[in-house]
Amino acid sequence: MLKKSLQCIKSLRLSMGLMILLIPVIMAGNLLPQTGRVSPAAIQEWQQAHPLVGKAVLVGGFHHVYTSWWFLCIFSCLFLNMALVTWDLARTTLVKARGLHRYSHEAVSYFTLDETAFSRERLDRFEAVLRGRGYVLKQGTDEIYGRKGWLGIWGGTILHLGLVVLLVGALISGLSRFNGYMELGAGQEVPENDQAYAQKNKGIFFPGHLQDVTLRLDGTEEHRNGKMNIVTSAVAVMDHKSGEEVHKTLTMNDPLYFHGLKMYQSDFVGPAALFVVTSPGAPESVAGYVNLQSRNGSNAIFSLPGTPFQAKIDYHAADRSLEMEVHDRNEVVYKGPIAIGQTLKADDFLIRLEAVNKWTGLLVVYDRAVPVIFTGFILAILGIAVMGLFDPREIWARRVSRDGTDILEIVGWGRWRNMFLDEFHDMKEKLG
Amino acid sequence: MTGLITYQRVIFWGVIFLYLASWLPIMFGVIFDKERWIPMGVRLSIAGVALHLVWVAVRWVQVKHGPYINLYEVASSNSIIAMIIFLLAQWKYPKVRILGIFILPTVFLFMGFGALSVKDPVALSPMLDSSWLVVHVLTAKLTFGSYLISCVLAAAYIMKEKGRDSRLLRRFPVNPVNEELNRKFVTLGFLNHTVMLVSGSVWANVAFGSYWSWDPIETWSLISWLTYGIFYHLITIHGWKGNRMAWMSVAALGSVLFAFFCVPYIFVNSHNIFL
Repeated sequence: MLKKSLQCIKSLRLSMGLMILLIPVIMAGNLLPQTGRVSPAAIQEWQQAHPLVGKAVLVGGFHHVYTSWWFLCIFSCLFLNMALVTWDLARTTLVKARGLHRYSHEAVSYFTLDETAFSRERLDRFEAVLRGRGYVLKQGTDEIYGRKGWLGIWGGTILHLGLVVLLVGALISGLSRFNGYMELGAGQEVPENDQAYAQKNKGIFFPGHLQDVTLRLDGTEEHRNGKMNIVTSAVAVMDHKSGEEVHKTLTMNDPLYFHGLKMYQSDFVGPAALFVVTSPGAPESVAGYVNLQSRNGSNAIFSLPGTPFQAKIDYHAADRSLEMEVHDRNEVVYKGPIAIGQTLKADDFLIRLEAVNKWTGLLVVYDRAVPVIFTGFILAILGIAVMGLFDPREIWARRVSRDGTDILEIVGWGRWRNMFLDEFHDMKEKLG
Repeated sequence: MTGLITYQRVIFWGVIFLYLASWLPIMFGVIFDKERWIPMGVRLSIAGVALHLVWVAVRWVQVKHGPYINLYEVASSNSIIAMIIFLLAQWKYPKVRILGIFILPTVFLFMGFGALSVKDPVALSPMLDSSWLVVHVLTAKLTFGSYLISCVLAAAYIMKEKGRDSRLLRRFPVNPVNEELNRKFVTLGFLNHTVMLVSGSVWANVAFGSYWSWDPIETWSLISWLTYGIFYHLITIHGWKGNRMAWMSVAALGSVLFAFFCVPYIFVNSHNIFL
């Protein structure tokens, strides 16, 4: 039973079946509205418009195909199948690499090409024909073995190995990756930890952030290039333990690398207000940024840093003026314009608007699987290149005795049977 | 700059004219059994490619990036790659020059499609301003060109199988040469397809910190890659050949055509911001 199951898991039929199955599944993920790609409201709207299909989609998890358990199962099966197929392929290729002249029945299925009466002269002529065709020859007593394009037998193995490595890399990446999105105002410095991110996503085996490291935004710029906005940000990463500091101007396609941390420029930028709050009895003031123009638009409600207050700011970009409303629960404690440098007194708190700077969105990624994925990519490309560039063929001509008669038996193997047989027929014509 | 735009458009129509003009002698040569007309068609298509290269250079100077951003440019650069592959193939295997009967009108139609689309130059966005773009786009075009020729070979094979003794079909490569060429072009296409996916993936990682985001073009490119992967398994392991292999070649191109030319119009994704 176990043997049968193993045979089934490593069968090429299963590989084909899974590949065929993946096509409609991947299509479904593209054609149906997916969580995380469209808003939950849009998904709900679609489900209401298609009640019957909508219910099936919801039950089957087709609203998040690429993260569904059954998609993971299909991929796991494919991974297992490919790993076992690659193992088998490597073993057979190793045996095959020894060549037909050391033939064993497990090695390779060869084609019987010709059987004629043996003569030394015929064997010599065949050797000349093979040499003329670019075969690399090995001679023995009354036998000759030739092969060409032999590296090509490794192509399939290398390609499959590359795909297995790639899937392993994807698995490691999925389990240990961290990616987060943060918004920093110009001059703002934050410790690089989970709290610094507005949105984050991490694998269950994410080993943790760098210790004693802070990120700072020195400045951000936005300019137009045709119809496009280009955002660039001057950032710094500082390791307070070692004193190491890296500065870089981030732009699209040019991230910052720092000991496994990669920082990318996102396309969001806008004004941010820096407040300094002095609490009653507190020895030090607290400073914090508030983004005035998020993706939800201006006029957003936020918590004032270091206070129990909620506030709302209406920012007018044209004249850089601000209207502010501060609430203590439902009571309005301040409502009116606020200027840079102005201090408000609300209850016993002193709230000063220190500056209005620019903020920008930054993406931070930790992904330790990058070298593994790169290796998989390289192996996959190398495998296909080897398969395409080398057309492996081998021919073995030898003297055998049958019923007391000496005959010249020619056997061979070529990946492309028709083309190989075609070449052999040409050779046979020359042989006469 | 206005002068450059005018030159560039005149050259574009000149290229279309030359491709049409090169198709006629090949057709004439085949239909009326005038062998000497066929090389004339090939020479004209070489002239067409030479002029097309001039168009690429002029367009590059005009828009300050390679011709691979809007549909006008994509249709044109796909056509030139398909033509270069065709000319190299017929140089190595002279018998395939007869395939010009199919390739030239296909390229002509692509060029016409491009001519009817928006031609306004578009600046390169920061996202596209990467050296990976050249690898990604070049391999995408080589993929398309290789698969297109494989499909044309397959179509020729199917037609040959149906009308065995016609004058036209006698000129096509015979089996197994046809099959061998088909396989070679599918292998070349598959290699480029893989490099295209990989370079796109590495580039996405550099740009957004994510290898794969199931963007519609990514998804459909993966679907067409899987389709050709299945094709490859069928011909290598399951021994598919002849008519079955030829039909599979034709069907598989459908997935690539859909990914290249339909997905950017149907779905919103990072590849179609200019279309």
